Amino acid sequence: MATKRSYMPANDEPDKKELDLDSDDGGIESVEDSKIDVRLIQNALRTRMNELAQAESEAAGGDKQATKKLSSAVARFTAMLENLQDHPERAVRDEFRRVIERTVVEGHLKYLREGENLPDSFLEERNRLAFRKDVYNSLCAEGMFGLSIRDMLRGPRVSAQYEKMKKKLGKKFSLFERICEQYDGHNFRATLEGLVDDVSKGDSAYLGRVRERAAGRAGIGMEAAARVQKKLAAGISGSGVNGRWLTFLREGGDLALKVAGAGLMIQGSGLVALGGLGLYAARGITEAAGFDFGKIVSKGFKGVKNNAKLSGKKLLSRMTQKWQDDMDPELRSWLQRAPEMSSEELTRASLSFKNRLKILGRGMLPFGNLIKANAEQNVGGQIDTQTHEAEQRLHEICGSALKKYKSSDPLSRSTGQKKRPQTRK
Amino acid sequence: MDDFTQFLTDPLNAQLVALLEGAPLAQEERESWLEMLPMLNDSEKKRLITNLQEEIIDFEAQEEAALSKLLAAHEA
Repeated sequence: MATKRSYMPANDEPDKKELDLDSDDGGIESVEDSKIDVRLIQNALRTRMNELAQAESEAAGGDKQATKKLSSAVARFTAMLENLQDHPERAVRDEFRRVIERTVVEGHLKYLREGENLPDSFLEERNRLAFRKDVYNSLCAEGMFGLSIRDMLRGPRVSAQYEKMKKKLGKKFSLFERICEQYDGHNFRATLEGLVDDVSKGDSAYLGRVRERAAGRAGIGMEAAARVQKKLAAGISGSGVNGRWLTFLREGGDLALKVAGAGLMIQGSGLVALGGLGLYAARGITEAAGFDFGKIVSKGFKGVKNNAKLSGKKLLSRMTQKWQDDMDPELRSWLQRAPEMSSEELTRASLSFKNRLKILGRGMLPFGNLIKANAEQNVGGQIDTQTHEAEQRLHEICGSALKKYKSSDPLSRSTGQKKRPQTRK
Repeated sequence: MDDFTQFLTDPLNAQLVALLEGAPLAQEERESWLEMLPMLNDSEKKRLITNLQEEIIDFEAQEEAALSKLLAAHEA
């Protein structure tokens, strides 16, 4: 029977939890942990979600600490995936190492301490069954035999529990019994050590499948990492807030403008003056992405006076070359030819929805041919009905567009519409 | 409901956390995926779920066969 520690990770410094089978207390620290500590999940997820929220908030100005953290987390993830592809069998060894630690040493130390072989008292029925419960619970803790932590048995009524184990294990019960019968200290350890050898080295077909699946997972992860990195890079390299909302303009394109159209109708009276151009787009898009529009306005458009005039060309000139190059060509060409417009014209309180539609109809904002056509047809009568229809139609478009937009993008969706606790002062 | 609780009410997220707990993965990989979960999109999550389910089924079969074989050898 093999005795060497073939279950050690192949490509790492020795794990600090290395199992020392010659020691009385090897690996005891981890006995209470399942594979995933609930606190670990909560902390890992909370950390990531906070960083995501902060990175979004940082996009509105200030330093980029969370964005950087997030970025380096993604880099670590990518490194792990590369490692995973190189050494997929490590997982199998890890898995069996855990089994040995838990099932043999940790779970049954109380018996082993009596001596290298079983104490006489172990032969009593009560102890015999108590031992089986320990083995069973270890298997549950390990998720072996299709068991899970939820299947664990507690309490003193061992013989009744033994029946439960039997039932739960089903056809695996005889194997379970054989494992328990093997137990005599040394031999059982050796048996499981041999098992590690056998599984991690012996079955090349299985290891081949493990490698394939590891490569599959790495592929999924790399894809996600690349997507997230791209987003983060856009947030960091963009020219401040302009860059940020232009990310959404660029990525959302036409869709974003439809969303912006909804903003025009629903929140028209509350619009903040920024300069006419892109105002609604900015508002609709940023709010659809869960941004605080007011904050972006105050931080990102400093120096743009309420009655300033903005043109598409001017806006383009404020973008980096990369932004301009990356931009959707249609959107870029629209920006180049869009006429100058004052913020006052679009946002003064007296401006009715009808008049805003007329402005849109003049082609000032590319909210789609629908509005333009409606506005043109409305010249000389029936404007209210037409406007109403246009409004209804736009609501329909915006509703489904917004839904689609949100469901297709987890990074945006995770910041959602709901209020998020402020992470920055 | 806080963000985390809300996160776990998504069936895909809850399923993935359970599968990551059960699958035979190196601890480093397990923790890395957990960290990345909030950033995966639904299609990536679904693919990961399929992959992990296969991993678990295969490992269980392997584990049972290996145990039987070794115990048989030991008894002989």
